[in-house]
Formats: sequence, structure tokens, C-alpha cells
Amino acid sequence: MGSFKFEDCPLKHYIRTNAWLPACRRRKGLINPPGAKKSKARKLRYFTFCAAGAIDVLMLDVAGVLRPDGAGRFTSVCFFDKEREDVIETQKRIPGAVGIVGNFTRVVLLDELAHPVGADALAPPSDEPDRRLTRSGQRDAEMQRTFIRQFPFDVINLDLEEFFFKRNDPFPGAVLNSLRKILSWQQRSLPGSIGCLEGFSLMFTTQIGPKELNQEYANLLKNCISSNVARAPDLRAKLKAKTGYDTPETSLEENFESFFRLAVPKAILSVLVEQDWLVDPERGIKLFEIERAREGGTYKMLHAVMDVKRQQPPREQRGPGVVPLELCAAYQKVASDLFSNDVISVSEAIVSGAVSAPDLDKIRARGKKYMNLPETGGNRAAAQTAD
Amino acid sequence: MAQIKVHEKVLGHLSRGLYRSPASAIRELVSNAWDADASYARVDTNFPNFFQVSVEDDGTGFTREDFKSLMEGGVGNSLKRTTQTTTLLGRPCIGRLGIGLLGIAQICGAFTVISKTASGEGFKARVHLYDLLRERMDNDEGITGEPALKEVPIGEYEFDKNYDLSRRDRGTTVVADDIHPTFSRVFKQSIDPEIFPKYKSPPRDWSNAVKLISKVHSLQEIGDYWRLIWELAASVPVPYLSPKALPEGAIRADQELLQSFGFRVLVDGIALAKPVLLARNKNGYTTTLIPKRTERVYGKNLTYHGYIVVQEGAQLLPDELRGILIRIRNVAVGYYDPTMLDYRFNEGPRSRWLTGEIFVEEGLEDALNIDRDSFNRFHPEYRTVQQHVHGVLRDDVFPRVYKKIGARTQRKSDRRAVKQQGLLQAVLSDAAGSPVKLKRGEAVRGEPPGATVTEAGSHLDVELVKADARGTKKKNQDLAAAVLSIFEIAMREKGRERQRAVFSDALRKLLAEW
Repeated sequence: MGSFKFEDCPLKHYIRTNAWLPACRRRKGLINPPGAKKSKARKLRYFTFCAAGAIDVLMLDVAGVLRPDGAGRFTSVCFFDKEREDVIETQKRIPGAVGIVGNFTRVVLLDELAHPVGADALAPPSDEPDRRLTRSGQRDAEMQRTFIRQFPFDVINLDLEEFFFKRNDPFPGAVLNSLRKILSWQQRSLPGSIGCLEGFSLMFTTQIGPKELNQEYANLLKNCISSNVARAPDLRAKLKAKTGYDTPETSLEENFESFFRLAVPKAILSVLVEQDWLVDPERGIKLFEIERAREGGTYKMLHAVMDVKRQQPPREQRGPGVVPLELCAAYQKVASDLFSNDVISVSEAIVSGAVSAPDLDKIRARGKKYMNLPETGGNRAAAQTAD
Repeated sequence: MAQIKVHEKVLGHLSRGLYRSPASAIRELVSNAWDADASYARVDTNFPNFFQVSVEDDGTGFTREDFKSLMEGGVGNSLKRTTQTTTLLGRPCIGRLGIGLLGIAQICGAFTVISKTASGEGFKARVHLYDLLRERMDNDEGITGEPALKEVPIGEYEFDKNYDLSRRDRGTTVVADDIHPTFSRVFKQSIDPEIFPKYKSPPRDWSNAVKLISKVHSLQEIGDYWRLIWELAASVPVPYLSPKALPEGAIRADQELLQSFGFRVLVDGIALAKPVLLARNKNGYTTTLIPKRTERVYGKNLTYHGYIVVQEGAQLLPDELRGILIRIRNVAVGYYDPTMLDYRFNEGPRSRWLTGEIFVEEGLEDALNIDRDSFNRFHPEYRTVQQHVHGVLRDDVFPRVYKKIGARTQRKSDRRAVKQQGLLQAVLSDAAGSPVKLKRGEAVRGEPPGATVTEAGSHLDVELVKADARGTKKKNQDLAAAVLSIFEIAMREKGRERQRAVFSDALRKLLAEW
């Protein structure tokens, strides 16, 4: 079962327990503050790309941050997976979670207007024949509608085990455009008409690279940094301290990885602002990095964690071209902190010194409990090799 | 003599409409798991989206060659009864491997099969079924071979050469994708409280779910998702909720047997048991066991046993539990038959109190229709079972039920009479201003039944004619006698005004609680 081979990786688990878990705890405290009426309490709404073991969701369950409902179902959890069998495996462990099979960016970037959210995509069309193509179009539309209806989320965990920008991807890239869309969907009302979210937590993961980006993407990354450096000369010195070079162009060419660590979070910050959100300047964007071995070398994964707030007043209550006062100061602080703060490189030394957290065995055991299978007969083999 | 032949196109047509419900199609895959000696069959519907349906088991699995053989002409052959009667673990074989895989075609246009044996052999294959199958076959599209041996292609399959079998354990998983949008739509709607206001998320504890279901009149009220789970629970070879699920130990022996097979079925994580739990009916139950019997029908054994339970005085809920269900080697054929196998007598509301099961150990397979979900009602083996069951109903079950109804009615009547007596006595005492004793006497010849009041020292005796001496069984005679007795008491007052007042006051009190 499961196609994510790093599910058991202790370095990845450090990220879960030291980056993701605190962010989710904090978010839960914000949506259900101490002293608030129990009748107004609501479950944390969580989106993830968890692998088949659903370790992050189960970790949150063990930690008491995200619990199933009274019927034992994780109705406030939504996840995507490309593989059908992995969706099945995941739903065994987190029953009731909304599991969507398919390519994330493909589903997100479907034309919403073709099947608006209120329309019934699964109703039999009047003129199209009952063929595979027709049916798959209906299902794709319904998957997108289903996904949109789950918004907004209190926590979005975009744990993409892939590149943010891809060489052959039409500019500006499917991931960036998908991010734009989901950030706009985040402005939807909560179910029960209790209003919109004032904020949420965003976790974002990307592989550092690829180095040989085409000119358009290279320019995108450079532009993410250029405006900051031009506006605040002290940032040039910080850029040099980080990358060894004081211009974006040279940094990109000569020290791609370091430049990437600055530029991509900046790009995310810009997309957030574009979609009427801002990163909480008090906490900024926390960055973690894991290095993994592969054939012929290593590669690195960059994890970003941030608290996001809605710009106030929201766009629909502002005049055209009006920029909220809070935004400029917040944006500049977060951007400046990116230049100043270090990325935590998660190593085995850090992991061994970390405070104890829900361990993997306990988390897996929770998943097995939800699977509701006794360990008898032929199933013993399955139980031993699960996860 | 000339032969009668049936064109094999019929099979192709049937592949897209074999079963009445998705539960029947999924049940066949569960039956495959049973035959493979699996300890569990797990059904996942991708709730709440229903974009795919999977059935996974930890059974013996099968090899590439087995699959190839099945796909390329083996499905038609698998319609014949298997020669294997028990599995390696001693379970009675159900034996519908190919038809199970074919049946899933009812709800999807493509499916994936992954299987691995204990020796590590296995495969992953993707099966695509042709669109617009009926039109293709009606046009003979793709059909090959001599007229007498026409093969009917219904799709294509391909092995995944890159699939890593080491990532999975022994067993088989069938994942139906390209699920028809109508299927997804119906099920999504069925869990939408705006469309089904009575919908509640099924509890993960099935016994609680059965308690909820037993409060609805029909599964239709709670939607197709509940119906799917219930139908699977009713039809697959799983134990009952407990040995006491039915009164008087009706299924105790069957329960022990089913438990001994160690087979679990889960749907979306809910471990199923047979969805019948009859207990605590205030009027009790009438239970009739049908002991095991073997009959010979055209040279073949027909062996079966069963039970019939009547829930006295109360309609069974849900409706889908009413009637007789026949199981062949532990798997239900269709659902509970409310006609009680075409029972020809009208038992009125009593038929809605009845549920029963017939467990066929040997025989009756030849009486199955091609959908294997219903019977040819004119097959001699079916008729044999039917005749016996009807005899039990006519000669045993319903006579006992009617006797109990009579007893209950009499008890109710007696209770009512006692209560009315008490009320009348109180009203008369109040009207007379002194204690009254009610007596029952014989009728006076030639006179209509009335009431007589006599003084008896410290109290009044009011004598009414006994009910069985009145010459009529009409219930209103009790009230008439009571009114007459009030009249007699009132007439003892002085003055018409006083008489009228006492009479009307007492009459109102009587009628308020009669």
C-alpha cells in the first residue's frame, strides 16, 4: 500500500511535529478560543495531500487537534491523491474524509464556468452520448465542484512532493495558477452562513529546483526579489549574506538553491497579496529544509509554514486601487524577515534532540483502529506490512 | 430431434444490466472473496463522493493466467456451476468468480483488478468495457466466429507490466472507476439532508445502525446509501448481530456456523452483520422452525432448513425485512420476498408481521434465473420448497398467530370491561350519593335488557343483564346498559329538574371516559 516512500522518514516527521502540528494547534486555538461557547465550537477544516498512511491527519487526531465526528468520520478533512488505490488506503485510515482521485492542478484548473458550482454536473446531459469521454468530463467537473464546496479550510497543507515551477509547464505554471484559484476559493463562506474566514494556516512544500528553468521562470524568480532589493538597500547586503551575491541575477545563476529559498516564499507571498490575503507579520514565514539522497546525488525539499490573514477591509469593501494600510507594513516586514531569518535545515542531529511528539507507532496504531479489522488469519500479514 | 439454441449475444446484453441494484453486483465480488477463503472483504465506496468503488480481500488471490483464462472466454463458462463444493477452509463454495467480475460492469465502464497469491504470483490489469454495447452487438460489431460459436467481445484488458507486487499482500482488489455519473449522483443525493431529511450518517457500530433502521418504514426514506449497506448486510454470508438476534434461538446453530467461517465484510469501515434484530416486542413473537429436510427432485437432493418469525401485533420495520429470504450456500438470492413465495392466501396485515429465511445447503441452483438474483418460479425445485413453506404457513404459522390474536383480543376486551365496570360504578355512586354495587343477572323473558336498582342496606344494588344473556354481541349494548342504569338512578330523585340534572351530569362523566 501507499506510494510515498518517505512516510516513515524521521526528518519528514520532524517537519510534521515541529512545524505543522504547532501551526494547526495555534489555528485551532484561534477558531475555538478558550472560553468561547461550546455551541459555537467547530472542527478544524483541513486540506492535505497526505499519502496513503494519512500520517499528518492521524497525528493531528492523536494530538487532539483534529477529531472525527460522533459517527467516527473525518468529515472536515479533504485530500487529493493521484492513485485510486492510495485513496482507498487513505480512506480506510481516516474514514469519512473527502478523498478526491486525480491530478490536483488538473482538477483545480478546470474551467469553472463550464460547470458552475450550483449546476448538477452528474445529471445526464441531453445531447451527449453515454460514452467514456462524456462520463469522465462529468466526473471531472463534479470533482472540482466537490472540492470547491469544501472551502474554506482553516489549514491548507500543500505538501507537493514535486517542483513548484516545471520547465515545460506553460508560464506561470500550473501550481502557481492553482494556488491563485484556491486562495480565491478560500474567500467562500463557511457552511451554515457563519461568515468567512479571517485567516488560515498555509503549509507549502516544494522540491528545490529545477536549476535549468526557462527564461520566463527565471525572470519570475528574479522579479520576486528585485523590487525588494531596489526599495530597501539594506536588503542587498542581506541578499549577499544569504547567497554570496548582491544582485538577483547573479544570485540566481551562481547560487540557485539559496536564491530559490528566498524567491519562492516571496512568490507565494505575492500570490497571497494578489488574492487579498497577507502573511501575519508577527510570525512571518518559517522555512525548513530536508535533504534526501537519490541516485547520483541528493535533492532538497523546502517546507514553508505561515499564518495568513485576510486583508482588512476585504477587497469587496474597498474602492478600486485602494491598498489597506496594514498591508504595506506587513508585506515589507515579512519580506525583510525572509532575507534575515535562516532556513532550519532538518538533520538527524536536530531530530534526535527534538522534544518528544506523537510517535509514528502511535499514529499508525490510530489508523489501524479506524480500519476496524481484526488481526486474524491472513490479515496478520497485511497488518504487519501496513504503512 | 432439432436442438434449441440461444444466441450468446444475450450474455453480452446481460453484462450491462444483470442486477437490480449495485448491492447485488458488489455482493458477487464479496462472494468471490468468500470462495477465496478470505478473512475479510472490504468495500469502499469513496464516501461521500462515490467516484469509485472497490472491493478488497485477503484471500488466496489468482494468477495472471487465471485472469487471462477468465477474461478470454471463461466468463461464459463460469455460469455453469463449479464442481468444487467446499473451499480449502471448508466453506461451502458459492462459485461465481467470473460473473462477479462481470457484474461490476453494471456500475462502471472500467475497473482494475490486482491480485496476489500466497506464492507471490499476481498481476494488475485494467479492464475497459465498450461503450454503447447494445448498439455494437445489435450491429454484430466485432463479433467473430462461426454462427454456432459466436463470441461476444464486451471490452478489453491490459496488464500493467510495471506494477510492483511487493507493495501489496496476498489477496485481490477490484477497483471500479469510470463509475457511471448516475450512480455517483444518486448516492451523493442520498446523503444530502436537504433531499433526504431523515438521513443520518450511519454509525460505525452496525448494531446501532440496525436500531436506527428499525425505526423507519422503508429504506427509501433514508436513501440509497443506507439501502446499499443494508442490502449487502442482508445478502452476504456474515453472522447475525448475536445468537439472540431472533427469538427462541431460531438462528443459533446458523450463527455458530457462520461465525466458524471467520468471514467479515466491511463497508466504508462498518463491519456488517445480518440486519435483523427482533426482540422486546410487547406482544411477543411466534417462531416456527423448519427443521432440516432433504427431498429428492428429479434425482437430485434438495436440502434446506429455516425459520419463520411473526412479530405479534406490530408491523416489521423496515418493510424490506418482510417476507421470506432464500439463501443458497449462505448467500441471499434477491431480497426478502413479501409475497412469501407467492403465498396465495390473503392474511391481511398479519403478512406484514412476518419474516423468515430458508437456508438451502444443497440444490435449487438450477432454479436460479440468469441474473442469479431471482428464481424461475416454475422450476420443480423451487416449487418443492415453496410448497413446503406454504404448508408451514398455512398449517402452523398463521393458525398460531390467529389464536394469539384471539387471545389478545379477548384479554383486551376483558380489560376494557373491567375498566368500564369500575367507571360505571363510580359514576353511579356519585350520582346516587351512596355506594353502588354492580351485579349481572339473567334477562327477563319477554322484556328488553334494562337495569334494576334495589336498596340493600348501606348501598344500592344495580343489576344489569349479563353480556352473554342479551341475545346480541353488539358492543354498544354495554353502553346502552350503562346509560339505562344511570337513568334508573336519576329517576330516584325527586322532581323532573333534579332527575334531569343528575342524569345529564352522570352521563357526561360516563361518556368522558368510556
